[in-house]
Amino acid sequence: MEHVEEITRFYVVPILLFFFFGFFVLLILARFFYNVRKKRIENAENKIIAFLIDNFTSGYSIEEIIANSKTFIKTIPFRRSWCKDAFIKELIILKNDLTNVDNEVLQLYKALELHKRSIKLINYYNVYNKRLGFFHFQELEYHEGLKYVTPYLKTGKMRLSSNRRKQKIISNAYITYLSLTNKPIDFFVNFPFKVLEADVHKIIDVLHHNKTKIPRNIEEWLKSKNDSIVRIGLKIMVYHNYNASPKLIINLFNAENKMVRLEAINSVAELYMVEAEEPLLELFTKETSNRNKKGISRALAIIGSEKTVNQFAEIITLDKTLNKELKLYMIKTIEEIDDNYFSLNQEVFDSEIILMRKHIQTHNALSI
Amino acid sequence: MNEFLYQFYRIFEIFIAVYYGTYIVFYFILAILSVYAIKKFIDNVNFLPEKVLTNTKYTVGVSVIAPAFNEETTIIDNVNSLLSLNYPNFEVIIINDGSTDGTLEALIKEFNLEKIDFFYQEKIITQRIRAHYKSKDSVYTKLLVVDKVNGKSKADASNAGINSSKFPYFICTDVDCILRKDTITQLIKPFIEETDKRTIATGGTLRMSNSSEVKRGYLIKMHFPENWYPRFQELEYTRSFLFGRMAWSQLNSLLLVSGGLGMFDKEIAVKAGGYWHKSMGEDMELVTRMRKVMHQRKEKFQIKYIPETLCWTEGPSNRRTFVKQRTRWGRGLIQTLFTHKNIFFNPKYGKTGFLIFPYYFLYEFLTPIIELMGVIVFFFVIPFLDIGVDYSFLLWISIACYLFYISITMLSIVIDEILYRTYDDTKEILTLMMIAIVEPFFYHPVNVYSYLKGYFLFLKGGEHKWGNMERQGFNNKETKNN
Repeated sequence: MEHVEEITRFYVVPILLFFFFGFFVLLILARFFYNVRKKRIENAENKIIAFLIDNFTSGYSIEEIIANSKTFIKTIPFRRSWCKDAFIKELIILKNDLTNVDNEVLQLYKALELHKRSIKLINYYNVYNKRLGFFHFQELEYHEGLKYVTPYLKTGKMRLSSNRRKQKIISNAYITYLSLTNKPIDFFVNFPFKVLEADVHKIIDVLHHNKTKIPRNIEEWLKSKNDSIVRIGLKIMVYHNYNASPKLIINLFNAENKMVRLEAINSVAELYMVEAEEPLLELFTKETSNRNKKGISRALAIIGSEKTVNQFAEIITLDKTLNKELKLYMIKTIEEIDDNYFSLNQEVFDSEIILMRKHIQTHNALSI
Repeated sequence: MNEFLYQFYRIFEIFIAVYYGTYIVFYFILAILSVYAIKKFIDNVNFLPEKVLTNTKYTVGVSVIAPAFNEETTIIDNVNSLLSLNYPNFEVIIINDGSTDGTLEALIKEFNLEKIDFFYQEKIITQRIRAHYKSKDSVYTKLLVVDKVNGKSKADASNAGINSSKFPYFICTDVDCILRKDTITQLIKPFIEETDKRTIATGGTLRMSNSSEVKRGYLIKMHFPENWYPRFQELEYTRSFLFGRMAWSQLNSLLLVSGGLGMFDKEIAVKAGGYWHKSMGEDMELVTRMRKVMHQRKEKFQIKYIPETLCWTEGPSNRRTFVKQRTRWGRGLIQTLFTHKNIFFNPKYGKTGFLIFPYYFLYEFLTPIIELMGVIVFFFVIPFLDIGVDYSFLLWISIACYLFYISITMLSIVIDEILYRTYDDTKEILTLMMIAIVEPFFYHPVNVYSYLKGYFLFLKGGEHKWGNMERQGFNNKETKNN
């Protein structure tokens, strides 16, 4: 025990004391420097906001705004990185809040050479900074920045330790590239990774925002071995109302991945492909995912006919083991296709179906 | 007798040395993991901008479930606050859990509610549902009110909300919790950012709303609590959320998603049987069963924690209510470990059986008992031994324990200060540091006592009672019975 006491007394306690006082001093210093910087930062930020709002809402031409800004930056610590970051941040906010200023904002960004700050951020090792740089280019639509993004579309450029981090950087780079390029996005069919659900949202957001043209090879996207590309391809088709490939989409009902099947189901509904009714009814009998079955039901509510009504009516009356939630969806589908069906055939349906129908009528509560 | 005491003392001494040694190693690893996890979180902040989630029509729906019992005076403001969350696809489900005051009437009047024919699916068994209400005004289409017979537990009310919900994910909160506007967006992110693992739950940081400025259900300005107990809890929350849970999240080993704020995958929660109405720690118990379901399915999964303050809740403001709350937590802890004892070292439950449960048993459940034993040994065993006790050794070990404890607390405050700067005033930071120094002497013993009392009550058996949770309120005093 004496040995333990010695170690505790001469090593453990001093080390812990060092940590305690270290944290204490760090805390005090962090707060002190924050208090010192806070006033300066707030002051500069407020000035930037006031300047931008004043210049962009007072009818100045872009040349005048640039000239004013060159004088203005002398009044703030513009050479400091935090100040440049704050300026860019406020430019992005301004661009999002005001209409018809996109071009002027971009010109000011270039005139003040703020793009150099974004490039510097991209070149940093730190992932956060890289993403911030990409984010600047993307938000400000700095097309000249493409050449700084392109190297990150390949894995070789990066020295990052984890594959997962690399993948996230590549994904960010791809999305930035998609948002900046004027070229057809046909190349995206070769995207090497599985696309995260979050990325699907981002890609669709970029495509909608940029009003990107439909890729010339869109049908190839549906044949891709990368399921994520297939799903994005379907979403693009829906966005462009591209209904020239019903067979290709219907074929995807047989896809192994249930998410691809669901995307195809949603697409035939959105593209109003009535020829998909029969394949959907067929799929309904063999589909194993309840979520997909609900999707089929929802799709048939849009493109279904009397055939759907009859088949669904038979299932809801005869199948006593049917999942209740799915049953609700099927009743809604029947109701959507033929709102008189239940009234005309009341005697066939039990009290549960009647209550479900009332539920749908009063609480339109179905969602996937 | 003396020989027996002597042997006992020696064994106890060795046990404490090993126990404390492993404890330090564990916490040291947790500290590193926590800092790493927070760094990773910050790196990912720009990965999915909020506007992408709020602009898209493909956003997945979320149900916000908030049980209410006798909340007549504050319910309207709280519901308005929940309805104003910033997310494109969500519903708010308020469960009136058999209130005896005018809670339901206030809701009906304010939101112009009417009874609807609701096809209620009792996927989880609950007390009887009296009715479902929707608003006649189109501005309140997101609101659904469920009126039910009181089930004597938050769990039963939450289950009724889950049964009535329409979306695949749900948030469970307390009706008087104040949520940040982007709470849903923040909590849903891990569900859509991960591909190779299914996210089954997410949680965020909670803080004390005591002494903060709150107007009509909205947090106007955050202040450091004025009373001692909320101050200690504020410190404890900072430590346990930023330090502990981030580290466990990094290990994908979270066992607790707070009852005040958590988002869950409905399918898995229902499959697990929902909240257990007899549990005294229903939040931990649900997560345990959800983990079991996933292990049994052999499906990869994760439970994620977000180091952002998303929720402000009112903590017990005096010793009596505090002891009552912690006694319940203690009882909940032992109950969960006992109920799911088959998890311990069971290969079927992987990490849950070999890491999480043993950790909770050793360092959460046993700690108060060992501390009590330490007191007993010091006062009732050592004086009866005619050996020379090495008080110098005891002193140095105690100092090391104390320094380690407060260093961990200080690290949490440093993380909070560098990342979030929660407090505007330097004085508040200094107060927090002083609180950290005195906490082990004043707050910790009360906490230990409450947990031991909880263990005792569990072992004694008998029906659990939720008792009265006194709330100070933001403007006036009110009492809540639940």
